Amino acid sequence: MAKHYEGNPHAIDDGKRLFSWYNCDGCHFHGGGGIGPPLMTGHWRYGGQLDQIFESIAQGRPNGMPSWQGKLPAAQIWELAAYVKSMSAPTATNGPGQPVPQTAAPPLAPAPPPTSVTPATQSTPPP
Amino acid sequence: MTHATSRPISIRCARGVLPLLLAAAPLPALADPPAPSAATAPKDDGQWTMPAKNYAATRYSELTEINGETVKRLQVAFTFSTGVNRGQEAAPLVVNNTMYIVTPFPNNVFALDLTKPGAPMKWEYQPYPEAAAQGVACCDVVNRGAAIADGRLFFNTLDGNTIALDAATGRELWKTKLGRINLGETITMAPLVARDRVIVGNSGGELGVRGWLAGLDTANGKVMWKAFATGPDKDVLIGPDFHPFYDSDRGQDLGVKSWPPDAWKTGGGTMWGWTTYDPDLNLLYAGTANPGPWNQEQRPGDNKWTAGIFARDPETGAAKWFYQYTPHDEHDYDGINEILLLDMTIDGKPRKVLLHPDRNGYLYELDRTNGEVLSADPYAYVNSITHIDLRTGRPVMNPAKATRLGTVVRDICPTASGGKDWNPSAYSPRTGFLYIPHENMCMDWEDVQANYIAGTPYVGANVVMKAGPGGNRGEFTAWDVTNHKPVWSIREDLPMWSGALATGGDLVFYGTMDGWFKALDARSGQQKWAFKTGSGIIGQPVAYRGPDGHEYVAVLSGVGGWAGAVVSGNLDPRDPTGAIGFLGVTGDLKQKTTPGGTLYVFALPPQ
Repeated sequence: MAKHYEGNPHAIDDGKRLFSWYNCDGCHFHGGGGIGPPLMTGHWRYGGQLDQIFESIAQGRPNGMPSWQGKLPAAQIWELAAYVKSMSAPTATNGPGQPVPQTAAPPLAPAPPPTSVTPATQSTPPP
Repeated sequence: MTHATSRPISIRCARGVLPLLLAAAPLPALADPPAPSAATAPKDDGQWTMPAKNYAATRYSELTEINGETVKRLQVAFTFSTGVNRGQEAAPLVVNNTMYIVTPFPNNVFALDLTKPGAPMKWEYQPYPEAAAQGVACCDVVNRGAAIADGRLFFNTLDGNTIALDAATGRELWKTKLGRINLGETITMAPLVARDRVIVGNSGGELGVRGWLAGLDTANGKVMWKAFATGPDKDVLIGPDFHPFYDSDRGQDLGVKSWPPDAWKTGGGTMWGWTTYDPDLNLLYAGTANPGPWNQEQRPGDNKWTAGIFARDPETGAAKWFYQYTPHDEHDYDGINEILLLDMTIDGKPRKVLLHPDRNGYLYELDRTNGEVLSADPYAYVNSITHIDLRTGRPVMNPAKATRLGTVVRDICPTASGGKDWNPSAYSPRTGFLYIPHENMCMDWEDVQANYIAGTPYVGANVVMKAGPGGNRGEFTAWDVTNHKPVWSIREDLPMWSGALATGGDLVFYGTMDGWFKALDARSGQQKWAFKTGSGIIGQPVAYRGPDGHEYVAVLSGVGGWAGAVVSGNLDPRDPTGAIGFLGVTGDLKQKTTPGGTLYVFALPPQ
């Protein structure tokens, strides 16, 4: 089963949509983590093979990962696993260990600094 | 060993490195600074029985042995490992020559015997909370401390229990289950004891919970009342005694009517921060946190009773008045920051006020008898609100910083974590200054559709935080409460997540996220002493008199919390949206500190 989903672009695309739909991004965000661990580092608490990631999603894990078995069809859990695994995968444009582009994140172009200043940051010479 | 090389960002002048001084001229001779009432701040007995020190929440110790002259000799007296390398937000407590510490999850409690060399362990209590609770704690698995009264220690566990222990032996007296983790509820706040009630509230505003505050019988843990922050009046404990000051808080069942149908059931308004109590007025004060989800387009209306403050009868929970700092909050500006109680003379009249530096960046001065806003001044950089309309009590929002679905709104200040977050200020009645540990940060925010699935996050926003004007992320400001202005301010590079302590030795203490514990001159802000602890400091410093009659200062070191989750959770800052946007502004923290969990206690060396 894992072979069918691993690296499958359609499965990864679907998994990405489900990742947001089922609030996975509420804990893992776009791979950096928050309540849950990061998923873009290539280091896995419970194993990084696709079937191990499937198990983590299906069974849940004791330190807070909920179990999705019985709530989601197995095919969706495989798609989620494929997407999760892809987050740490090296790509043509990103060398090994580099992050997958985070298209869902707000763009991060530097913005001009705000111009007005609060009293607390105004300075007057000491008396 | 003490160390003095810590260098807050400050202005260089002819006299060397001085903090940013803001008063242009020496202050004229004034009457005594405002002070708390005797009932809210009894004479200091050298103990520290509740995190805020007293009901006035001054976090002020009258002890003077450690002062501007002696502090340069301050050194470590003893240390103690909590055994937990997560964010240490608790205040150590000292009662009957015993020190008490609550750890982050798994919320172990330690009692240390201060009468013996090295303060050996007297007892340990392990509550074994459910491990799954860690999966519904939004912002690290913190605990903000215990409260001790009449020989009993009260504390909360992440999985939603309130527990009473015999302070002498550590024996469990009672345990009451209040929160349900399968709905996303946790408890992280420090309880408050008011009369014969233990006051407890829930966390989980990022998981679609419905906020509540409860009053438990101190004797047996029985829930005597539970007041929700949303829903019909009977659930909020709004009845005939409820007299809010402003028209917009008057009407029937506003906790239902100010929401879209049923949205109040998942609307937040939790109470995970600071409550306090005025024995003279017999009023309990408790804020309410942000409405949920963060995506404001899913909940048009004022979203009563979130992002505000209730005054209640502690015996019955009955609401007396309410004021909403941020109606229809759209930036995660919880109303649960510290509440200080002072008696002040305003326009020649004595007023009983409460001071509250809110997440929305404004320092509020309210008449605590009726909820009237007397003043509201920005203490941090704010561009999301233009001012507070004192006639209606409502903030006037800047439409350019309103959040929208599918649009990235840039440079909203302050951030979701606020002008300041939970980490409490201190007030010295000797200087009349409120010492505010706060942030200087802004954020980009994009609303996205939030789906409610019980026990999972219900936020609906992509957030990326960044440093505010000037580039420093933290700030420590001395604020003159009589004249409504900052007196001096220390710019700190890292976000500020530690509480403040003020002492009769005219010193103020705080810690930094890279582990420096600092003492400043309370009047000038000049740094007098600093010590580098093992991990970043996000805890609450305290001062006490030891069994030997000498003054001690204690603080927990151990980075974490929302701001330090990148380190305590080993997160990956290449995703700046992680940790609800905090990874955007803490990308360097892993190079500056590592996880930890150690108590440091300091004293002057024996003469």
